Amino acid sequence: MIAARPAVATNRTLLGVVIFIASESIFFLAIVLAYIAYREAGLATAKATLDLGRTAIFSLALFGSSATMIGGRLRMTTAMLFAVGFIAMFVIGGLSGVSLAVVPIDLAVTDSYYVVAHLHYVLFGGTMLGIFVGMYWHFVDAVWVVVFSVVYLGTLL
Amino acid sequence: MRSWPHRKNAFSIPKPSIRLSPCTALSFWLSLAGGIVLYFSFLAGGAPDTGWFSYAPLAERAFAPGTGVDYYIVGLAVNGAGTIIGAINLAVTILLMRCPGMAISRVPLFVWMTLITSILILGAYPALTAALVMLLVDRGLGGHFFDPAGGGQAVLWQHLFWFFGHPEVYIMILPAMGMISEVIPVFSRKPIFGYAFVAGSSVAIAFLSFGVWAHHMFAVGLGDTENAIFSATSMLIAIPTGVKIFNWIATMIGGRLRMTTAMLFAVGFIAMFVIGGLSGVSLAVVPIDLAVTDSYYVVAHLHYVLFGGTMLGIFAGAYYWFPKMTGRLLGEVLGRWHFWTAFVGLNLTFLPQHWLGAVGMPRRVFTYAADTGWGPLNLISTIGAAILAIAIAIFFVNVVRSLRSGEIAGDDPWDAFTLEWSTTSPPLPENFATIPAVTGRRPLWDRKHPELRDAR
Ligand SMILES: [Cu+2]
Repeated sequence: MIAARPAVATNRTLLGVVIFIASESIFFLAIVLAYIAYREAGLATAKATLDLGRTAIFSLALFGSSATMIGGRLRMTTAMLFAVGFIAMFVIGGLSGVSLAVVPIDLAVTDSYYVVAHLHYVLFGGTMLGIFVGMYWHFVDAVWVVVFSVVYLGTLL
Repeated sequence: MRSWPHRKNAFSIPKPSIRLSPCTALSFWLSLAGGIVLYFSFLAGGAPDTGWFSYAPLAERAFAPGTGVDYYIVGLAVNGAGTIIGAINLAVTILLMRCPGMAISRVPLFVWMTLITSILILGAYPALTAALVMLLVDRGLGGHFFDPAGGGQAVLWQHLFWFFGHPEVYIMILPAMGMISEVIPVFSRKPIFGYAFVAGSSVAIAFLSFGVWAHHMFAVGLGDTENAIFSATSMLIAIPTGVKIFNWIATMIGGRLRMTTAMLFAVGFIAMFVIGGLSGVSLAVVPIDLAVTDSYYVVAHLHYVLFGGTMLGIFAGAYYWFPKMTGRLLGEVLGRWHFWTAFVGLNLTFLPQHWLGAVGMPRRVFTYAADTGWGPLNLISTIGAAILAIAIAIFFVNVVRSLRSGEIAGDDPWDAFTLEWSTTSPPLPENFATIPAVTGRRPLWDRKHPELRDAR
């Protein structure tokens, strides 16, 4: 009984996170598809304003944080919370710094999407850190791969 | 995250020592906060004045410059987050927290409907959230998702909104269907007819409901092919819905019916839902829809589904589970007054609206010219609405009186079948003193009648 309990709890958390990620995928899919469908009109602005190089470097830092967690069994001690929190804040701060540096106040469609991504780093990467940090962190990275390819690499077309 | 379970559901699928989990609390407070934000718009510079569906481009900054739509966006997004968390909570509880013997093929149908509803929420709400985020970007950050002048499309809002909006109808009706699926067998003294079909048809409804959204957009001009496809899928969904109707009726046939107030409401649900469902099928026919779109015919249809269906189902559930929740029965005399005033009131209110819509009275008008001839039917409708108000008042009087001086219910006032009736009324904080034995779909019946045990 005592031995079985942690396993059940893990299953529950795992299923909950998996369901949550599945649900979130629909959310991101809708936005990415809408972006792709209407990208033509904003492409010139995107080319002029988005900084591909610097964002790529910041993305590497993001993927690095995700890769560090792979393989390791995450123990959410207070120290670890601060460490992960620091990475999250650094990435968010860095990326929004880039966007603020290059994007005029009247953001174009493309940049607006960029803000959406940031929003989710704050909302989900930040506030629910202790709970979802493992799997959701990888999921958000996967979303970022899509966003980076579609929005940033898209400017090379 | 030590405990995921949700109070209400933990109750139907017993497991001892279940507390209000942080997840349940988060879901509740987010939902409440979203609602408060939405209503706060009334005080903060005006309510969202773009309709409940907030169509673009009307909801864009250029046409809705006030803050109302912004409150709509934030309120619905926050509320939606709470709803999604609640749905995850319920789904995980149902899938992983059942007591020994409670196979998924044995859980009460109300729990089955809760599971399907949760899955619908998880698929539908993200589409609404995505649309809300795009609208926020359009309004606040100069985006052009719904702005044709900037390369977007206004119709995108409608697609996303109704991709959420149609499953939302089932999110509202399936729990009520689950409630009457518990009430009808108990008061017919028979097990539900075709348990697997009631449960399975809900899976079919859930699956189909994601492929019918454009029946809300026949008048948009998507094209004949699109309209034909969505017309066909919309009619298809009437099949699993009809299966349920037959199951409920077949459960009653040959049963020893006890017409308690709960049962009256359940039977009323079936009758009214059949009317609402049939007018729904008629609206799935594109030419009919084009003729009556945005008319009172649609208003009549949706109220037969949502009042005649959902509300009557909820009332059935209220009379059925009130004794379990409070320890006292809801008054049967006032209950009958409640049922008959509600039944007469709703038909007087909504039935004439079919004719009003058919002769062309549009929705969302607050007045009309005298020579339209719509006066008499609207008068009947108004009288019906007053009777409905009386019905609701009777219900609240009944609740207050029954809470104070209602008949003491005991553990099992209905001689019911399912496990919640084996514990005290109201239940213990941990629901059950010991984990109950589950031997079939009607564990309490099995315990009371070991010689007549269900085969499964
Ligand atoms: Cu619909």
